Amino acid sequence: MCDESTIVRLQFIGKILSLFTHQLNNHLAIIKDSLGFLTDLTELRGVGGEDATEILETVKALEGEINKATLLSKRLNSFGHRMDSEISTFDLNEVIEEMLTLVSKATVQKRLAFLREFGELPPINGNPSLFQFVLFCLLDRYIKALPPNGRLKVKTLTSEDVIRVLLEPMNELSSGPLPFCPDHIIGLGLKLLSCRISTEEPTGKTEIVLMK
Amino acid sequence: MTEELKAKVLVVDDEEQFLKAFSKRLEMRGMKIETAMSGEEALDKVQGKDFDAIILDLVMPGIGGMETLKRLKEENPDLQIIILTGHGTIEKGVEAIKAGAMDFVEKPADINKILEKIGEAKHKRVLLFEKRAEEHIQEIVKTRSW
Repeated sequence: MCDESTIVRLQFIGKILSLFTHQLNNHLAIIKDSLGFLTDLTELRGVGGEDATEILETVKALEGEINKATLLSKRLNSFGHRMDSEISTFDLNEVIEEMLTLVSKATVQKRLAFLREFGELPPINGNPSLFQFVLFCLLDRYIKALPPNGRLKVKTLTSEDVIRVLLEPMNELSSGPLPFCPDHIIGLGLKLLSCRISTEEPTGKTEIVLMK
Repeated sequence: MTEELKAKVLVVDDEEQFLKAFSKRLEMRGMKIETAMSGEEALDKVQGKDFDAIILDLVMPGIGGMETLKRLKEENPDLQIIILTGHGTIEKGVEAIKAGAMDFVEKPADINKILEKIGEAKHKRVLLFEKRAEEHIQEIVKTRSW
């Protein structure tokens, strides 16, 4: 088992995040419905003219931004709630997607992109937040090591007894041999998922193998 | 122009601004709206009144949404309650459905999705009403000897 203080710390972070995102979602809901009300006033009450067109265009743009903020907030909310319990049944693709969305801002400066290739997977049992922690450590290393405009393929697939997660850099890593996660972090993160992790030295391709 | 949906809806939420904007949008689409800012107020409002749907927030001061849901369903099992909350987890959704909620929608929600759910709630109410009427007729037929 993982040491108790780590679990308690994760639950503390999770609780704070889920409370924060709940509040944020409520504010976004108020803004979204207030904008919706402005649209309704213009469209349903038949206000016309150039001003109405400009109002509607502005409202539409604001709604687009709210939708983006909502997606981030919802991902952060799920991420927080994953720390509610030590063990749960979860969808690995969903857990990976959540992490990719949450770290996406870190890829902007170097214009990096994640290429997703998610296979159909059965649900697995384990500690999703610890898995996310390990995935974050790996992604963070790739983000640092990939050259500008680099691509990282994130692939999931299943075979008889195992599920595989492959992190495959599509470009040569700019900082020489991949600076990998320290062993204790990998050990900590994977304890509850009974999986193994390996990186191919010259290519920097990482494979995480999880038992079904 | 949006098609009008004739329905009587109770919206329960402790966020005053949300309640105001959201209710007005539903009213503009033909619905008759009543509002409550707490679970306790909602329980008072349903006394002697008939709603096609109740839209209920989960986290509110006082008795809270989950307890309000349970008490409303105890009061009237036919009530169609849609949970609308910023506290969206699968576990909460499952818990709410188990407690008798018709559906679970995350905030901020699309108005068309809400309209669709209200439409479904109204349809379910009509079906339940017809079922009750049929049961009542069957009961009368059983007890009469004609």
